[in-house]
Amino acid sequence: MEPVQQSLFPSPQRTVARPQPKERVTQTRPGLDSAPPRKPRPSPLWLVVHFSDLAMELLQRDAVIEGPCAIIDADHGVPRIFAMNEQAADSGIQAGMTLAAAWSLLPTLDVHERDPERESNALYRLAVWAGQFTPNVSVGDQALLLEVQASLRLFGGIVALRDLVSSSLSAFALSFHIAVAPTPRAAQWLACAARDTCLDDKEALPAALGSLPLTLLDWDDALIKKLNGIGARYLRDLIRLPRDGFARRYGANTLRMLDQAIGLAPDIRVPVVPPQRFTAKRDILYETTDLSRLDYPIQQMLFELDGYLRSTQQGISRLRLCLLHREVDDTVVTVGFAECTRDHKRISDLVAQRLEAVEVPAPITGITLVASDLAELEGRSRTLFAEQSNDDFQLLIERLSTRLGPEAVTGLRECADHRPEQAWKVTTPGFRTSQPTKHRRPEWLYRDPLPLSGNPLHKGSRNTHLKIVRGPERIETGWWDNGGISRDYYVAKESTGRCLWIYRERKSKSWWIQGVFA
Amino acid sequence: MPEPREQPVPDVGNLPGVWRGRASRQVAGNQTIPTGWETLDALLPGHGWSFGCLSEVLSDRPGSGELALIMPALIALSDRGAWLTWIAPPSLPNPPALAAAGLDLSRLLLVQPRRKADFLWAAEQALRQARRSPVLIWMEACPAKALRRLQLAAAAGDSLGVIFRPMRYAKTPSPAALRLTVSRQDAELCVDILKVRGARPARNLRLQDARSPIDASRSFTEATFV
Repeated sequence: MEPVQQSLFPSPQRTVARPQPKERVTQTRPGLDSAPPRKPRPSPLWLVVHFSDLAMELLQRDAVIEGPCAIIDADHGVPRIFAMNEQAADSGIQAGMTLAAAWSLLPTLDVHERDPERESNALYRLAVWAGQFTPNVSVGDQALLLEVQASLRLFGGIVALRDLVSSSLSAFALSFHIAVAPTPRAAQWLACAARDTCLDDKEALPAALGSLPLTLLDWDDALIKKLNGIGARYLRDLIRLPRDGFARRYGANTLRMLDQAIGLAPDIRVPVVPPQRFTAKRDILYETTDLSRLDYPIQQMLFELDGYLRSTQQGISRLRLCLLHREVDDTVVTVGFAECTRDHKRISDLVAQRLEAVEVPAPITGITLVASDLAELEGRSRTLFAEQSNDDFQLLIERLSTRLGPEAVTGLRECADHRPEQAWKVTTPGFRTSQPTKHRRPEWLYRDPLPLSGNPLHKGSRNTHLKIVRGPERIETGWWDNGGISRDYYVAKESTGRCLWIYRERKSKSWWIQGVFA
Repeated sequence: MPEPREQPVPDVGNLPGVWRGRASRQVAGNQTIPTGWETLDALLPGHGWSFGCLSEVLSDRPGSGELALIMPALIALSDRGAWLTWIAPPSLPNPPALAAAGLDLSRLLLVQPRRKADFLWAAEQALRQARRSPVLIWMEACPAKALRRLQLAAAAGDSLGVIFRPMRYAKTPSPAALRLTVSRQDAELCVDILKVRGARPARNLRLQDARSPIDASRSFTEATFV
């Protein structure tokens, strides 16, 4: 058998390619496998603030309440107790009681009608204030809903944000509970149940919501009775029920609400739009002429203003406080700022200072605050090395001009004019100046020149204590605006050592002192 | 018998608040800025005007050299971007002259209160707020209690407070940290240091004022027609 000679160059293989059934070849783009997995879009996170006793607390703020008091709400024509204060609750009044029953228990019960408009106004103002935490703020039933997923990084995480909201809200003196959940309805229910939960995960929602009692939800009494009838007392009983049967028996709406809570259905909440101008009004219950008593309401209004400015990223340069009186015209107090600002401390300092000087002719019944002259204020970037900032001085300038008057606190600038009395101008501080003059001028200038007796130029004159050192410098100018001068200026030395800048009027030949050198 | 252990002796020289006699002038507690005159610098603690305290300059009438004395320090601070506050000056500080000297007019604040009661308040506010900035105050009758308040305000704000008063108050005691009298003689400034912290007072210092308008070498006649 001959050895198979293998050539170095293999002969080309001739193969007859059989037509193969066409395979679908998916050509992968180069590097697709190695590309990093796309980040999933972050799911929304809702922080809900539920005000447990909004109606009663608003009433206590606006009216003087003494003794047991309750708020009634007409429920299908039957007035029922909606909310009551502590004294009424101690005497046995409960929410849901009819008014007749309540009165039979406690004849001295003070009754007010529920004012939904006042509540919605208050919620709207709170929502505008809460816009500083996130732009998506909506209003629910006695609740504020904030969608905070995008704000987490700025505020340092959900726990820090929740604590910040909680501490800032305490300035409003309202009782509230905060809950965080991936869906707004679930967060609302959890906050209503006073469960301060902080849920991140949609999967954990059914478990967290399960233990909520059905009476908590704002559903029809008849519906709740029906559900109780089948043995469902808590939400977990409802979640277990088959869906289509539930929808048929208890309404598609109810099922939709459950789905929205668990996250199976979308829940669109319309965000609140902040107003164009900021106005706040407070009624003063105990009329007074003492302005120091108004500290608390004014501080509250300024706090609201702070929230509004932060949420709209604006600053104010002027603030108007109107103190309302009964028969007399309103006292208007205007506070102006050197530059557009939203620094809460600076604004409240200046307002307090400005009010110190105000005297009121009659007792004050109310205050309104109007912030006009709003302008966009971007955040400032800090410098790496702290340097002497202009802000300290702006604060000083404002403080001084508030008490002494703006004409007492000024800057100076030069004007291009050879006439010494026109070569300067009083201006607001911080004005940039032009080229300095090259002539030697005295550091002190008299606004009105002082007359000088005698003639220093004369050798044997009486003014022997003045000796001409330099000069003359002739300034002849200003003919165009009727302020023409024609003077010869000299520097004269006094025997005490001072150097005066004197001049002689060429026309009248009189001598004057214009200024003194330092 | 065990040997007595050697205790390290604390370096008395470096303890704060120890008066070192003649050598005290070399040590300063606060930051300072050079006055611009070497003879004066050598005699002041820290070799310059101290921040955080009130310096009192007494002179006969405005124009006797008190502003010229402090001018080099003002120019140096103005270069650094500091604000310059003038409270109740006797007459108007002339902007062309100040600008020609090198002061930045955009950082100049002129405060002229109308009521006497506001002078002290404005001075205190300015001293408290100015950080490393000069505050020049002109006040005549100032009780020691008020001066003490200004001193404390300057310490709180770490500012360079200079108060200008008439010469007749040289004999009345004052709580200011530094007290000088100044007068002008030809092209020289005559300075007496009445009181200085940590050093002995000095008399009859002669400082050559290069910016004086009296310059015997130059005599000229200028005619400007516009």
